[in-house]
Amino acid sequence: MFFYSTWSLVPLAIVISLVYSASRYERPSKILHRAGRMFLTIMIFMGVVFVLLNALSYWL
Amino acid sequence: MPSSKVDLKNRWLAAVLAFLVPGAGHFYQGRHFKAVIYSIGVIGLFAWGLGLGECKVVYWRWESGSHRTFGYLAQVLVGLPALPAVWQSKRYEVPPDDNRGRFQQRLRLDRVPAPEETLEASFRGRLRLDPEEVPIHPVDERERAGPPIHEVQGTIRWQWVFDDAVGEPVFEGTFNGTRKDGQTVMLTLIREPTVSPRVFVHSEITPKMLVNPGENLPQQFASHRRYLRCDFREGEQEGTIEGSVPRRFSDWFQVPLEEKALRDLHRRLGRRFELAQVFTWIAGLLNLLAIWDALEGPAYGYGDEEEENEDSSKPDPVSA
Repeated sequence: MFFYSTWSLVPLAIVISLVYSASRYERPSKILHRAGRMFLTIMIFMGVVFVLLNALSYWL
Repeated sequence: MPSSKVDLKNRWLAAVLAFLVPGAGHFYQGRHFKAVIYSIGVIGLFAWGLGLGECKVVYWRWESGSHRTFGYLAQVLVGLPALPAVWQSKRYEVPPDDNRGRFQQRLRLDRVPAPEETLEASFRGRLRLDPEEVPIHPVDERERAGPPIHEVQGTIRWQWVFDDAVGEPVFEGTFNGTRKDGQTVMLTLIREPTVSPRVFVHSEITPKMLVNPGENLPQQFASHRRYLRCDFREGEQEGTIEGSVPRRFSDWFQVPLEEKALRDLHRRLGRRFELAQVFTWIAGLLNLLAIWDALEGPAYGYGDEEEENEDSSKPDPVSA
């Protein structure tokens, strides 16, 4: 379940990025470009939080 | 203020369509690319959550001081896929003894079959020949010395037929199926089955539920299966079958969960239940963005403003 919930973040982030960007812009190329950037931002941010929390809980 | 570069047509109609079916408002406006993104993204996410939670995470219940589904306020933004919950909530609130009118009776979830109605359903459960008053329970000490219990599945069928000779309806019923060891079973039912409103939150019939058939267990209307028990005859012997039959999709889909059903679901699904809820909430909130987009157009503009600004900032070669 842990791996399922972790990896389900990827399609979830894709959907959120696409829908949010689609609501901001009209041109398809702009939507895809912004969605790509937003997806990367989410994944990097979540990755950093994941590593940080993992490191903090290492000695628990 | 609506975007001037995008033809929103009748924007209020588009917003209503976008609410009812994610993406439909944008199809109406001819914004097909966005329509595909919204419909696949929002409906897909909602369906994913629904599937993860075995279709039990979307329901509307609002009782003072206890169970309130605040999450449904986000889920309902998905529109039609979540709206049956409102109707099911109305049905759920109809008291079981309310027989004031046909409409009330139709609303009732624990519907009683009409006379002369033939009932046919796939059955899954256990059978035992030569029953006593003790219920079927494979781990019960009293049962170990008794006749064997067999897992069976098949089709159960019964009806009341008016018999002219007797002058009143007569019961007829059969069960055709197979035992777990592959042996065919053909039984004649000798009494009308007990199909109780005591239903289960999932398909697994636990011995705990079977051990006390007379006890007043809480009803679980969101279950997709219903408890059934009846007596049969096979040749010279008599026996009992006990198990469950499926309920109609419209009788359990998005029906409010009782406290016990909710606890059972939490225990069985664990974190999957929370994940399913979050997916359906996010789907609803994302559709809010889509509805607003159908009404007002894109929030930051068409998307070519930067290029236009760059073009306008360049010096005009003629005037230079």
